[in-house]
Amino acid sequence: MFATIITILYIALVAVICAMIIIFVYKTEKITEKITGAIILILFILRLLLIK
Amino acid sequence: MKKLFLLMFTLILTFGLVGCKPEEEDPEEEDPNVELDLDLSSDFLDLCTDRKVYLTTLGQSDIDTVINIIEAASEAIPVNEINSGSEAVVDAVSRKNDLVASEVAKDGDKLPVVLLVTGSSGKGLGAAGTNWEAEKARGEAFALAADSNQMILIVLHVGGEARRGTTTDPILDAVCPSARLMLVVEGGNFDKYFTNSTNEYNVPLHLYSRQAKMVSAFKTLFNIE
Amino acid sequence: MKLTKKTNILISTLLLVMTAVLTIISGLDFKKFADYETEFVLRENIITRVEKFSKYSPKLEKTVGDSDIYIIEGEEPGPSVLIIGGTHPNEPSSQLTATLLLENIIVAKGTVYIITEANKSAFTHSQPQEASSMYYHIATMNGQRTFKFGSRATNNTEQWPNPDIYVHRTSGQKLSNIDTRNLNRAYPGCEDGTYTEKVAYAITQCIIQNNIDVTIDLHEASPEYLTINAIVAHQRATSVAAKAAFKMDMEGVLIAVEVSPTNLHGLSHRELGDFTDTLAFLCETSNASQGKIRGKFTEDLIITGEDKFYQKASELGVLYAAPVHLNERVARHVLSILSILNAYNDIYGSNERGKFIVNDIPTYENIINNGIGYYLLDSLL
Repeated sequence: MFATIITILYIALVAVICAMIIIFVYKTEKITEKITGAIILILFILRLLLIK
Repeated sequence: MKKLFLLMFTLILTFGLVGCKPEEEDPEEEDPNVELDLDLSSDFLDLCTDRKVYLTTLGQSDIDTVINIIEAASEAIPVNEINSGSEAVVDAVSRKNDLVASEVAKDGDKLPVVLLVTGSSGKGLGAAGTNWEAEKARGEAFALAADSNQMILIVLHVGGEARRGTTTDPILDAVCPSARLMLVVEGGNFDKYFTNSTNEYNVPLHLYSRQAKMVSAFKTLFNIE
Repeated sequence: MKLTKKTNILISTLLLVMTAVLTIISGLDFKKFADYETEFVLRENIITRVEKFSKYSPKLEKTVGDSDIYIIEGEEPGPSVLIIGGTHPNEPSSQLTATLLLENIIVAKGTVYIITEANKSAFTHSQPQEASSMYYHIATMNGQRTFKFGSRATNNTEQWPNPDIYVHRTSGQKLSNIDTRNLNRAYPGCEDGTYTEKVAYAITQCIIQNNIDVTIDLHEASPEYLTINAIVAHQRATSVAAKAAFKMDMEGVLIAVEVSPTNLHGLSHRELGDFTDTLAFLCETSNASQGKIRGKFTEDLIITGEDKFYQKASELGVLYAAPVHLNERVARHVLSILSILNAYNDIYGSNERGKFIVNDIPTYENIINNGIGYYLLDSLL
């Protein structure tokens, strides 16, 4: 039960961070920051997918 | 100017580091006196027959290995585990891991022989719970008894370099000077400890390339063809 | 440079589409690795039966941890031995040795139990930041076999979250968080415990319920690690281990014997010896691909053990054992197993159960000269 709650919270947290990164990629005008955000997004989404 | 100075300093430091050359090691001088896998001299023929022979370990390691070597020399030499108060038997090997000098029977025509298996795991494995001071004290008691002509000590070290270290070496310091013979697998002599001991204490040393080669020594000691 | 709003949106969208594509490609790659089932060729009329871990630890049923136990019963009843391979999937000779025996051994007397994927979850991922090859290939007589190079630990997808301090269930010993997912710190296990503890429980129960006489857990260690080229034995098993090592010494293969420390808990040689009647052994060989001194990780490194940094380290004398070819590592394990069984026969062979009689095990020299692949059966796929 505890593990399930923690897992859901974790997935929600990662999803929120992914959304924030996407918004950041759109908002920033610096190309380097867009690319950095995109790279971090790959890692976060993979982390999300690894949680069953 | 400051940048130039910084650049020069960095270059000098870099050259200083990469310019270091390790000192050429002197080529190891081979000790011409200690060949491997030699047969024991006739002085030791029969040393373990018609008398009580004890087997113990100082360091609580490798005693089973030595039993295997003895059994490979001859299945006719039984190795019996003895407890406190049990009598050792002639023409057999009486094994007790924590044997003390006072338990060695000193009656009979011939002096008893005590095979001291030295060495402890330097890797920490198996060493937990061993009382090193007690092991060293046992060794010192055996040495004292040998010096008083109450027994004959044969020091064995079969575990190689892995069985040397800060717990083993003080025990070796205690027993080697009083030994009649040292039988060592060469890895344990990596720092020439035993070679130096043989020169300092005038105790014969036989080095073996591996454990199986030590079988011949026991054939001589027990007079087995 | 200041972007117009339209350009900004265009560039951002393009980047995010690329992100999605790369994520999908990487994700599919990871998933393919996780789902890949290593093939083990089962000889008809030789393998008596195959059991599942869930027979001994029911809560593992329908999970990835429900590994197979291959059982080969001899024509005559006798003593039994369990060979555990695949506890740490980043130690290839462990699984390969178990596989080689599975596909070659003939048992005349006694029973042989073989596990090739002890911690199957650990085969579904690899160690983060090691950049290890996912697979390695062994050429056989007519083709090749593919094996996975996994992780030392259970996958987080099976066991998460994990405490910062791992308290070993039966002893109370405290270990690092990384050992919560290490099968070789989970023995004797627990039926209701974590995934890893359930797997350990299955193996322990298999030993107890089948009254297995000898258990040999196969491992590797990095060349800079202390305990290497060694047989670690429970104190009840030291006489057999010493005799086995001596037999190997007689054949010119040097191996150390270490006694399992009584105050280090969770390991197979400690707990299986304490909680069951089996004689417990653990064998280690030298593996460069799990070490830290290595340079680039390649499939070649897994198989040959050749690496210029390890070469330098070896020349400087700072390694406990030189890294060697996978053939030699498997040969060493096979010889260790055979020597342990022969030593058991010498010491316990006159008991009621009698002696092991096993045949068709390739010799040390033959495995080195012919290669492991010579003895692996061709893939049925």
